[in-house]
Amino acid sequence: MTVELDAAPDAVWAEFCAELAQARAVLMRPAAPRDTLSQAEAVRYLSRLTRVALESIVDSSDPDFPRLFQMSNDIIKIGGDNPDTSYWNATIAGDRTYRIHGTRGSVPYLSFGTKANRFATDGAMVSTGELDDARMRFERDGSFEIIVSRDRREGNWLASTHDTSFLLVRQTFYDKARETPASISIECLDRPDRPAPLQPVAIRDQLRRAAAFVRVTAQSFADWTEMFMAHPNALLPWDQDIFQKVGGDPNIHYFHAYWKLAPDEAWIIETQVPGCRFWNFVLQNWWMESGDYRHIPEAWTNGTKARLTPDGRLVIVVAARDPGVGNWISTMSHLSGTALLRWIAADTRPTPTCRVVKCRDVADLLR
Amino acid sequence: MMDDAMTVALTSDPSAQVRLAPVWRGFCEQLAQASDILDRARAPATPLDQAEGVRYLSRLTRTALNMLVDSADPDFPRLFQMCDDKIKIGADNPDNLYQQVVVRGDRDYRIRGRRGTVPYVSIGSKANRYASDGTMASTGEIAFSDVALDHDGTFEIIASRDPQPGKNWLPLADDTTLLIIRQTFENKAAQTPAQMQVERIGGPKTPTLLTSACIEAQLSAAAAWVRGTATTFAEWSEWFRSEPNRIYQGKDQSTWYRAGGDPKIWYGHLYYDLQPGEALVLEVMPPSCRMWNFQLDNWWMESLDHVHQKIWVNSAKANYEPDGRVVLVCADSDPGFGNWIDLAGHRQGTALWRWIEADAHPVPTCRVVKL
Repeated sequence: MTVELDAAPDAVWAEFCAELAQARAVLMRPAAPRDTLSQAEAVRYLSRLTRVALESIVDSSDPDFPRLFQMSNDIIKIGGDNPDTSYWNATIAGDRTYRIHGTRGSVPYLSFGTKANRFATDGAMVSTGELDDARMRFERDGSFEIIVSRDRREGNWLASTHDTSFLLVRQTFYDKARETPASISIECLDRPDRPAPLQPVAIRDQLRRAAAFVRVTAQSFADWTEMFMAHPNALLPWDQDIFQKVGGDPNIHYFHAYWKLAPDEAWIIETQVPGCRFWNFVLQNWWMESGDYRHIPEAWTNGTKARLTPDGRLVIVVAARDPGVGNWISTMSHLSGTALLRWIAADTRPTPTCRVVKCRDVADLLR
Repeated sequence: MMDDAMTVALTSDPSAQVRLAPVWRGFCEQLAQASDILDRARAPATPLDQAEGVRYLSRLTRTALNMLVDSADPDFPRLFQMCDDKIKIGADNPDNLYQQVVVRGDRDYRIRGRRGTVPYVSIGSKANRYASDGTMASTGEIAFSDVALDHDGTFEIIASRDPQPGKNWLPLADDTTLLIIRQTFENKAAQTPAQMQVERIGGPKTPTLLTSACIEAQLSAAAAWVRGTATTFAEWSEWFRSEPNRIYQGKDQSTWYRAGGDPKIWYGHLYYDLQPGEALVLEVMPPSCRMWNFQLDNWWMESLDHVHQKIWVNSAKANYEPDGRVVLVCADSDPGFGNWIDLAGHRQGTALWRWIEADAHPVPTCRVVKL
């Protein structure tokens, strides 16, 4: 028997590599930064998108045998990833029933959502079911079980609909180093005995989708950055629908910004902090990758790390070097990039005021 | 495209203006060359084997990028898994969890962790000496039977060239480049793995900035690694194919050790070539040993899907004959005798028998039967 494809397998691989090469268009956009660091990081970003595209689309896409994977993590950074949250995804299908089980850990916030990709009809990734720890029942030892199905179940139940296509598990930490994440596994209860053997048409289709994912993802977030560039150095609410439609968390109010600073300039951000479950502020590169928060404490701040003024205001200073007034966020040698402030489950949504000043004036201005 | 006419400026000057699109294109073009393994004359042309070959290249690509782009800084060591439940290389062991860390022999590291209940854990330091004597040489070993644990099961190990009296010590050599953490389970579902973290002692505070020369070199190394790794194990598969349906004895065990194999293991590689309805039966009296196992791999030497299918067996899980012998039957379905090992749709491919810390190394007998 020979391969039943209109292209030989070596041509399938060559086609994948050729399509993957097209993703380089994002580096050549007229608005994209041309400094060595930003360009080198963009190439590395494409390599990371390639990894996650292949893991999710080739090796984690069978809804009969769901596999939890991370679309972003401490290394793979996409579209304003959140340093205080860990996300796990699994491909599932709305016509099947799943059992999730695990242990609670000590993470402050744990939630489960099912999503349907309705880009073709509603132009959006919509939520088809939500369950969070406040509404869940846990055993004394912290273990739990959830049934994911279209029909309502007793106990912990997460709803799906006929077009549900994936599961999203979110864990938000106040302090990742000290809090234990929940551990989770998932199985399909009405699956066949064994996975189907891999077909040549299946791998060809998966590789095409993976290459397209890399190209389209890089383009989409470059489009966002270019939108933010219209109002540099301002954290604005924009149209929240834009962020919700791609799967944003409805509990979060997002303030995005494009920033650009001369080496002797500082960006001062001031705001009241609303009553909220959590907030954070993250500096990102032009490609919307969060800064290297594993190794650089000044890459981001949050309600645990930051110090507020005596009257409860938050003042953040973004600069190349520490001006010594507290809440310093480092530009990490970048000349421009993006930033994201999140109010999570907040009772009000104050918009921060922003200004750019000379670094030498920061101490006087904030005294 | 417009970048065709541009050249890449290999500079670390932050004010330099560059366009690195050609670097990405160059990587993709180099990666495309790995497909020549699919065209090897002896590689099976069945839809399943060819589709798995393409998927294998995609898996090699992502592990190469993880290892050589994102886990390659010896000042900020990062544990990574070269192989996992989906990334499979060179007859990876279904009973093992392997983690790697890129290090340098002239630096010191602290390994902290929690022991877990996994029966066997060891850490080795390795030097890549392929260029000088063609080996991945061992430069130090520590087994957890020799590691002092705290009352709560936690431990600390120092990895360094200089001995660390009174402490758990993993020796490094000047040319050490990699640590390998090996964990062997009898039952992965029931035993908990050891958890470890690695940090450099006395290193810089933050990583150096990425340069265009660095990312270009990393991507080129990743593409070369994909092709080199795929080629190496395709050659092995072709060696075993010269003696089908029996344990391959054409090479000395030192061949496997030089490639980074564990000297405590005897490796019995095998190439199976079966017609529909045929099964391969292996039979042996196991020697006294810490553990043994047998696994089926595809032609590319990926272990078959051991998460969802019964494609391997080990000494703890096997059923034995009344006299202590073990009979394994590699077949499409359970034959009703011995230990069924699922071919999972494959007719040609490779397999591996391991005797681990055994006092003798009997070669299992093999025969093809009609079911």
